[in-house]
Amino acid sequence: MNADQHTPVALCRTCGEPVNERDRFCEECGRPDPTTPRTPPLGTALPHASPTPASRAAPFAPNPVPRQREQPPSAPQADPGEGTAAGGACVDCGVGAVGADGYCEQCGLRQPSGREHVEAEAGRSGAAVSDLGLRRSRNEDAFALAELPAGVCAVVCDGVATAPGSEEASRLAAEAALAVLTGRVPAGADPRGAMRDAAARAGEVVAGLPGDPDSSPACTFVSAVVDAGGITVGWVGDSRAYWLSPAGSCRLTTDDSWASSMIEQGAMSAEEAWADRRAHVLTAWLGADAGPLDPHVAAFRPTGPGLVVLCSDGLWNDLPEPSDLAAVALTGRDGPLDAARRLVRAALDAGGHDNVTVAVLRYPPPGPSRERGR
Amino acid sequence: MSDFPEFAVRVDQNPYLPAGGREMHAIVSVEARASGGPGPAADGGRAPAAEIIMIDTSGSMSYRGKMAAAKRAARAAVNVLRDGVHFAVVAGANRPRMVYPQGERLVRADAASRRGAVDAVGRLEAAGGTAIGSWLRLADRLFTGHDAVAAGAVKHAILLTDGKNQHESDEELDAALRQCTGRFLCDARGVGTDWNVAELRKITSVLLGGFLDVPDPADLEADFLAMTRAAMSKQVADVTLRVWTPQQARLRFVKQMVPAVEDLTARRGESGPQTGDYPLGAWGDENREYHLCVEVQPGDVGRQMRAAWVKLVAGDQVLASGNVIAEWTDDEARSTRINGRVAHHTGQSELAEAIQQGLEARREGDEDTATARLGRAVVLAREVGNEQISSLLDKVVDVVDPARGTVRLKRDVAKADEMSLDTRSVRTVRTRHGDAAGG
Repeated sequence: MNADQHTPVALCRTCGEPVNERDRFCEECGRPDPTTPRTPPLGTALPHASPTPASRAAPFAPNPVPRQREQPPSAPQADPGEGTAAGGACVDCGVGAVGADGYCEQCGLRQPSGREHVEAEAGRSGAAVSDLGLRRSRNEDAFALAELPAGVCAVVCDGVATAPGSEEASRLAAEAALAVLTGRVPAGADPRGAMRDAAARAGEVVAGLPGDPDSSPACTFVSAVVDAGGITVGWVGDSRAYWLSPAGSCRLTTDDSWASSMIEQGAMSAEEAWADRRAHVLTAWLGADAGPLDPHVAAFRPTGPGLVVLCSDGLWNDLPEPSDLAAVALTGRDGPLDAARRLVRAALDAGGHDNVTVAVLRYPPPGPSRERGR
Repeated sequence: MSDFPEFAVRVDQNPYLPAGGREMHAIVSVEARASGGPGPAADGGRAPAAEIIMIDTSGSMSYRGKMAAAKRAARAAVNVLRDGVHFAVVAGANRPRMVYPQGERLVRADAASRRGAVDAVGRLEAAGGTAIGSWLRLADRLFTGHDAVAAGAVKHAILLTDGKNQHESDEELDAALRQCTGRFLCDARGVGTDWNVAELRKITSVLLGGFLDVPDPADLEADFLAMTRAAMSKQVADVTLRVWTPQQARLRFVKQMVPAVEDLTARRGESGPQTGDYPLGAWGDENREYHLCVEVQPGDVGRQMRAAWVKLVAGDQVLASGNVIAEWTDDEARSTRINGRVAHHTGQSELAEAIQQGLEARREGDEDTATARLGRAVVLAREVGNEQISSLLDKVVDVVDPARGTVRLKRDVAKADEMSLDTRSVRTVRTRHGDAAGG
């Protein structure tokens, strides 16, 4: 293995593991030609992510409840994005100053970014949890969620680890999309149109990030608006939305991935397709090299109460079946935050190989008794 | 002068350590490219230079055409000094003597001074003994006198000798070397077979230069030309490798690996908290590689640490920097991987050591050790692909089984071959980035 920290490591475009530029296969995930740029339709893949507590930019963002494990004590309620601890004292040795690149100037340990574990709630209507997982050194998933006057909305993005900057890409995409949803939906816009606009805006933001021609920052996107009228979901890539209810559960999205497209074309059975090492290669994503963006949007009107779950592949890799998720999420009569935590825990217990991000939204939204920032 | 070349640092390593792992190895490659692009057009970007050519004129130089070859070589070197370089030619015997100019000073190179120097070199005659320390002291005085004229100049000396340092004590040479350390750079050439490899190794190591054997005096001229041109092409006089390590970490070694193996560990000068400086001398358009080994306090699985922060520094300017990272993992597939370039350079270090120990044992008549060490060298030379060393080894031992390193010492070994093998034991072969030699 050949890792170089100056010019950042060559990373496998599928799993984000450092690889030798000339490796024919990624030793971690088996992707062929792990560093060659995405060529359509084989894209990128997915891996990791990084979470963001929702709230910031959004006018309706009531309550990020950041419970950040290992958050540097001295770090003010800061931007949990990059370098939270920069300028503060090291959380490990307690003495050294932390440089702009996140390493302690005394003990050398890289400081937690604040994205290792993030939780947030939107009143009683929804909650989200994002976790680094057990095997990654950074969380490139991000989420954003907010209450709406008559419901709740959330976005989950999964940074494509092949390009430096995807950590930032997922965070900015989630925030940008949330800002569009919280601006347009309460003003009376059709959620489906708002969803398209939100995805388009997120795509613009990511495409505008600096990157080199071979590896632009990139991320996936999945989003939902839940109100009394039903559920609207929009997505690009392979982050998913599920409907979970005691009366029956199902997946609401189809992946933009190699496996999905093989299955859809009837070229392979699901088993064969998922066993292929190209299975996870993305066929659509947000990023400068993504081509024209055509987000999927779908609307549903459930007949009974249940939960909408948005997630990165860190969850569904280990728990792909709606019934598996329902079994974890629907036990107990607690709120969305507890359900989200249980789902994340289940993914970690199943291996925790990747970053895991889960947003759980209640349908129907629990009435207008919202107190901000409970 | 401020037009430094563009420096780039690249770090090759396997950053993963197992839980509890402490020892991190990395290869730091430094590449400098002239900012004005290659070629003599970038003349203005060069640092001012001062050059002293020291020719051994002891009595033994009169044999086997050595003196005539040395004169030709010195004249060739003088003739490629570019205008404006300050220089002198010194003759060395029991005492050093100014050949050109006449007084103890450097003179500016131009058509007239080059001609004057060439004529003076032509009149050199061999007589007397060898006292290299005294020659170096004269060089130091000349350079010191020049400092007032051009601070920051690249100060370089070429030393040619054919014999052992017999006419002064080891202590005198060591004292001279201490005085000259950090004052100027010196490359050396040994001609014939009566000089001492260890002596030239010591001198050039302290003075941040290299040395080679020139068995055939006829090759001397081309060699001097190359050496002088290389000295003329330096663009920045004093470059330092600055290494930061975490608190409680220990930098176990810093070795130059390309162009030759040179252990720099003992040259550390503390330059700040947790930071040490290793002087590297002058740089031109060239690449060098370093092998670092640092021992750190283990972090938790999943944590990442900057195990070393490497900077190339000239004056107060950081020219380039790179990070050596350590990350602890419970994934054995990652932590047990061996970086190909680390493996390659580890092999080259061991190769140089095996040759030097083997030859030493052979000189002392310890045939068992000599056979074992030189046999190991045969194996390593093949592993790292150093064909020059392999063919030099073939002149000293009969290889029975090259894969297992079974060898027999040759009975009759030419002195020149043994010296050549000793001299070149530290010369390494470069790998292309990404090569997995030995990995």
